[in-house]
Amino acid sequence: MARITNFSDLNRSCVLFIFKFLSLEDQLHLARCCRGFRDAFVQLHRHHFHDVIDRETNLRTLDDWQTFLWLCGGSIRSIQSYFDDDHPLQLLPMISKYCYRLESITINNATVARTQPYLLKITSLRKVHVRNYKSTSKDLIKAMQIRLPHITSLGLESFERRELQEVVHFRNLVELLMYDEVTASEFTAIIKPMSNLRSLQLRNAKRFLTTGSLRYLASTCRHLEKLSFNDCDADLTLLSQFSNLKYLQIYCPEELKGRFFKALAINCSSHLEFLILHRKRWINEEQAQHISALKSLKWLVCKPRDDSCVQHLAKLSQLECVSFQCAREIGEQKLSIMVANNDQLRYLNICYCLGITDSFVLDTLESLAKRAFQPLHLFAAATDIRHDIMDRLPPDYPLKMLCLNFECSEGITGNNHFYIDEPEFDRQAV
Amino acid sequence: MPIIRLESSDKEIFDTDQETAKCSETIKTALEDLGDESDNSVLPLPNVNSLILKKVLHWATYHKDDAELAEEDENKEKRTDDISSWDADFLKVDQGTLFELILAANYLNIQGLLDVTCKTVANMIKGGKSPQEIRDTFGITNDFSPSEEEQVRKENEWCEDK
Repeated sequence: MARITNFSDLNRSCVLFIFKFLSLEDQLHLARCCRGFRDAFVQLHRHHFHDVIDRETNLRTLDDWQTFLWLCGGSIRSIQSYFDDDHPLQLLPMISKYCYRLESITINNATVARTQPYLLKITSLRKVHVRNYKSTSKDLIKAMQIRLPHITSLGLESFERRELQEVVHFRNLVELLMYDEVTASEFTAIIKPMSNLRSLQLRNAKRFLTTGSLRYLASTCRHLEKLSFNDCDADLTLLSQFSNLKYLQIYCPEELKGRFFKALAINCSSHLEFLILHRKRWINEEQAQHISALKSLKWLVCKPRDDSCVQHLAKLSQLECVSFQCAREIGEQKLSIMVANNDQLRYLNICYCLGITDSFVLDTLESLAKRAFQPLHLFAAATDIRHDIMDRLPPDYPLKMLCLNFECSEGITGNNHFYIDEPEFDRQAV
Repeated sequence: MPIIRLESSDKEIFDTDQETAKCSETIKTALEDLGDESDNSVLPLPNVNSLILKKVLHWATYHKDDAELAEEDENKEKRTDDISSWDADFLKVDQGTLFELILAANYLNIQGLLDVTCKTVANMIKGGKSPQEIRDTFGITNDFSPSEEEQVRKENEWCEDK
């Protein structure tokens, strides 16, 4: 009697077709059944899972993670870990075993004391960002410098001053995120060997980013393209000395704004592409005029005082992402001109701009009708735009070109940058 | 309307109409290649036996007027809960027949039949069944070596005694 056909008799294309009807979890269970199905799974996902975020990967058991990393670990280049020490899924031992091509890891909530031995085994790493959760690190930075020879990007948060001084031994860094405080002399010692540095991200830099250390930074890290910090007492007009600066995210004190924007307009008009005015304060007409001279700007986050400011900013023509969140006083006419002048504009955040109405949506759609592609994502929470405006419009408007959201934005992404607007409240009043 | 004559692997001849036969891209292409010569000739289908070909033609006769399937996003998990009651009844068959239908649908390139048969198999796997439960359902032999299996188990031990 003829043998009965079974699952194992299906050819690879049929098996792959069945795999596509299954969730990742069920696919992994099937892959564990036999070698043939394992190989089919590997073939199906050979170009997938380059970037993995643990909390967004829908696997519930260690067994499933085990199988996943066993089969896909070699493809994974970047992992963002959010699970803490108490999470039932402790993945780092498996990651260090299976992800032999891992280049980038971000550890947010696991303690260094527990993860360090495994982290140091992943010698392929180029980028390591660690939040020293519960401050258990004793010598992670030093150990990484010795054991992980390919690191060019280092991110450190919640580390003690004493340990941060070990950063000085990383000579080939291209990117440094240092979110804790050191002294000015320690800071200059840290950056001294970093002539290749392209990106420096700091938070509260009041204590160490002095006029002297900023000048030193400009002379030492000549290739710096990205710089961000919050509080700082230095003379910010020195920032115009960074001749390669493309991305600047700062908090500019009120008394410095005029001189600072003027210096930027004179020296950075051809290369500055991203200007984020953190912890936004109002921009007046004169300041807006200086900003409008930065012709290469692609991202602009600021808070224009009124329409006359927007009128100046509308002279820019390379804008891709703009946030005027909380610019309550601006009207819609000049804003429409800005949209019309920037046919690459893909993101516009006007949440809490109370004077913006349906009329702006109509003007925007008219501008969008002239575009071949590139839709615009408009974030318009707490404006005067009616929530059903898109349903009311006739189909001859290019409705697909406008994605209208009435929630707050989840941030701007692109060009390897990410920025999310701060929550709406008045810091000055706090 | 011209009659299409199909011959199964066990040499049984099935007469069917053109519309039904053309549910199969494979047959459609063969008929186009034959052109006028197709009038009286018999089209051999050496990979499909008479039992299965009969079932395939039964399915195709019922579905010949269906609209073409819309293309779906390749990377998205596809639905499996949309099998019509007629198809569900049609596929109340033993596993041997089900897998033969899949092979036939694949060989004859009948997308709708391949879809619904593979969905049926997927539904037998879904719902968090363990690998051993899936093996038991389909009679699959575990051909991993003990060391491969052991490796998978050992890795997890340190987490369990946490």
